[in-house]
Formats: sequence, structure tokens, C-alpha cells
Amino acid sequence: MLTIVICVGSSCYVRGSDKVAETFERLIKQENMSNQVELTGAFCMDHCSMGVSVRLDDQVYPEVYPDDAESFFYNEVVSRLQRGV
Amino acid sequence: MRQIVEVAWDSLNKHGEELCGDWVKVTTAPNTLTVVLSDGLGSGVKANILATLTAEIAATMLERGNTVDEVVETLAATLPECQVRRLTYATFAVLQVLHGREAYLVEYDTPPLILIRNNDVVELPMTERMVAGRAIRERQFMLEEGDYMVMLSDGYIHAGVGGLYRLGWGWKNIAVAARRWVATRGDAHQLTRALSQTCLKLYNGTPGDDATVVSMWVRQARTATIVTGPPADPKLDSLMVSKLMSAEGVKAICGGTTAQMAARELGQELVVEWQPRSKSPSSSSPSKIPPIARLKGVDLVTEGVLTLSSAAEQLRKAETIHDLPPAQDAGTRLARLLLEADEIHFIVGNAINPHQLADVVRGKPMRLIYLDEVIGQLKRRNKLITVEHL
Ligand code: FES
Repeated sequence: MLTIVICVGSSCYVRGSDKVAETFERLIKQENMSNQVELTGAFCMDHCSMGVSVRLDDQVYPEVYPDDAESFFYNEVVSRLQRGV
Repeated sequence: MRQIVEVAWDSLNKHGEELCGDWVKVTTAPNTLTVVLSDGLGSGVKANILATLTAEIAATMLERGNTVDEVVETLAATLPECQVRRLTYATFAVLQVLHGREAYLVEYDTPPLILIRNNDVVELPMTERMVAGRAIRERQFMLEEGDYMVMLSDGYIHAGVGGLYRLGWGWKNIAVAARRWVATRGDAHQLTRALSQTCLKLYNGTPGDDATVVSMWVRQARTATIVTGPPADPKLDSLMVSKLMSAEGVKAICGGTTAQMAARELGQELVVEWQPRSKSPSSSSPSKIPPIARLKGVDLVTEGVLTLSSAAEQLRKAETIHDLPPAQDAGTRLARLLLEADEIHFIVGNAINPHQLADVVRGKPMRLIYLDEVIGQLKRRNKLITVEHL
């Protein structure tokens, strides 16, 4: 099980935490991955940037932009899962 | 626990008048509450000025420790006289309460205070005496938890004259109505609203006189402590958290980083109650503010700047807790918590977080600007606010 933690701290939230979350949610459904990934939130990850911070396991990706959320999902989340398999 | 008197009031203007000839002034100091209701002769501008002056002078002088005699003498000397009746004319009722218990009531030509105790209307025998040529009635008495009191202006007594009540609503009927309402254990706001709506109905929507009601409810004080922002010096983290945890009453943290700091200090897990949109009950209304988090021992944990701004916005629109939407988002819950409390202590951390929203206006972080607005809104409602910086 891979946990995706989306930052919902002040800075990330105004930069689109909700949009990023929506995209991830949609893709998880679309790819039928709901028993492999879990989506949750956390406050400021101390990486405030121009984008939204997303943490996969122990790694924080500080610049996920709402518009790039889909490619991030395939490049990082899906590939991480495949590597794990 | 401290006992306090919750106060709420409402005025109906005489039909067609823009200004009310009744005036209510409520002041709260840590141990003293002063409520003044004044009714100026006539209606409109003149009545409004008479009533405002009377209430303001009385409240200010009493607050400064002047006696009622001095107040009446000052009023007699200051206010213009009525041409027709050769009187200085604005009636008033003053209720002063010490420590939420020791009450002192003075009435000058106003309908008597209604006191309801244990579901009964209690008679308050008043002593009459002359001060500066005016007959005032006064009385000292003790308040008990659960007491309700209602102060009225003339407009209530006469409501419905010639209609439903041939002689007007009348003190007795109003007292009975109030007794019935308080049997439901509502608060002062609800009692005010109920009486005010009935009064308006009796006047058929067009009051023949200014009509004011002040409702009061004696109850235990509700306290809240809010922490926002980590201390400037991280060495003070544990002090801040222990201050919060040892505080009486409801506890809240406004700020994600502050919440994480508190969780670390307490050795507890901080769980953000974030739900994917599709699972959240209010999926139809995308919330503009971050979700709430859970931390053991703390009643409400929210993000900082956005939530405070949302709470400030709610406080601009909602006068009392009954005006808030039933929503469960962080901003509404924070506003509810603040409106519910009588005494609120803010512990404000001065740490500057270089990563956080960098919007600094007037040399101040946005979070503190919204906090100032929230505090101003609460003070306007006569809540006792204390602020401490760390
Ligand atoms: S608010 Fe997301 S990393 Fe700071």
C-alpha cells in the first residue's frame, strides 16, 4: 500500500491542494488502484513553494502543480508502484 | 467556575422612524456588568439623542464608580428639558451586576424588570426615593444560576393596543410569555428574538412606538483558549503547549505548523481529517479552506490564515451563534466556538515562518490581520478578550 499525502497547509492549499487531490482521486479510480494507494492530507511539510507539496512514503515532492498532477501521478506514483511490484 | 450574565437586546423603531428613541448600553469589565436602557421622550432624532446621552452618561459614570445619585444629578443638570412637561426627559433602567451575582437595579419611570427564577415570575419589591427631584426606585438582590431577566421599554407594554390586547400587551402578559419561553431553557438571544417577534406581530408589523427588549440569562461562564502561531523562540514551544493544555474550558489551535508543534510536544498524533472530495458529505460545495485536524486533548485544530479569514467573514455576517450556517467546515466551527465563549484568551506566537504565505501587509502577517479583525468582532459583542504574545 502506497500512501499519498497531500499538503493542505496554508500555502499549498491556496496553490491548489484540492485540485491535485481531485486529479489523483479520479486517476486512482480510473486505473483501478484503490486497493494499492491511499490518499490523505497533512499540514505544512516545510517545503512551501510555488506548487503543492506531495509526500510519497518518506519523500516530499514540493512542486506539484495542479495542471501537472496527472503526469506526476503516472511518473511518480504509478512507476513507484510498478517498481515495488 | 465563574457565573456571568448573558445579555442580548433588540429595538424595534417606531414605524416610519429611521432612528430609535430607545438606547441600550452594555459594558463588561472583568467583574462588573452594566446594562442601561434609556427611552427618550417622543420619537425620532430628539428622542434618540436624549436616550443615547442618558444611557452613555449613566454607563460611563457608573463604570467609573460614581453613585446613582451622582448620575441622576448629572443627567438632570445636563439634559435639555421638555418644553411641555418641564422635565428632563428620558427614562432609564440600570442594572449593575458584580461577579455575576450581586445585582443592583435602579429604575426611573420604566416598566419594572421581569425576573424569572425556577419558572416563576419573581416580584422584586423596590424602594422609592427622591434624587434631584426625581423619584427613583432601587433594589439590591442576588442572582442565581438559571435566572432570566427582561428589561423593557414602554413600546412593549403598549404593543397591540386596541387590537389583540385592548390595553396593550401589558407587563403581566409579557412576563407570562417570557416565563413560557424560558421554560425551554433557551439563551438570551433566543428570548430576545421571541419577544421581539411577538411584539412586532402585535403591532401588525408597524410599531406605534420604539420598543426595546433586553434579555439576560445567568449562567456559568464559558471560556476558550486559542493558540495561533508557534512562539518566536522554539524554547518556548513547551510553555505554549502547557499553557493551552492547562487552560480551563474549550481549547483550539489555529495554524498547521502550530498544530504540528503541539503534537510533537504532546507526543500525540496529528490526524488531518481530510477526505477525498467524493467521500466528503458536502461534495457539492467545494470548501475554500483547509480541513480540520484531530489532536487528543484539543477541541478544535485548524489551519491558520485561511481559516481565520473565513471565521472573520462569518463573524461579519452572523451576530450570534444562531445566525451561523450549520456547516462543519473549519471556519464555521471556529466562529461557532468563538461566539459560544464569553471569555477568550488568545496565545499568539510571534514566529515568522518564511515559507508560509508571505503576504505581509502593513508590516504584519495576514494571519495577525485577520486575528485582529476576529478580536475586534468579539469585543464588539462584549466578550472578555485577553491576548498574550509568546
Ligand atoms: S503549506 Fe505545504 S509545504 Fe508548507
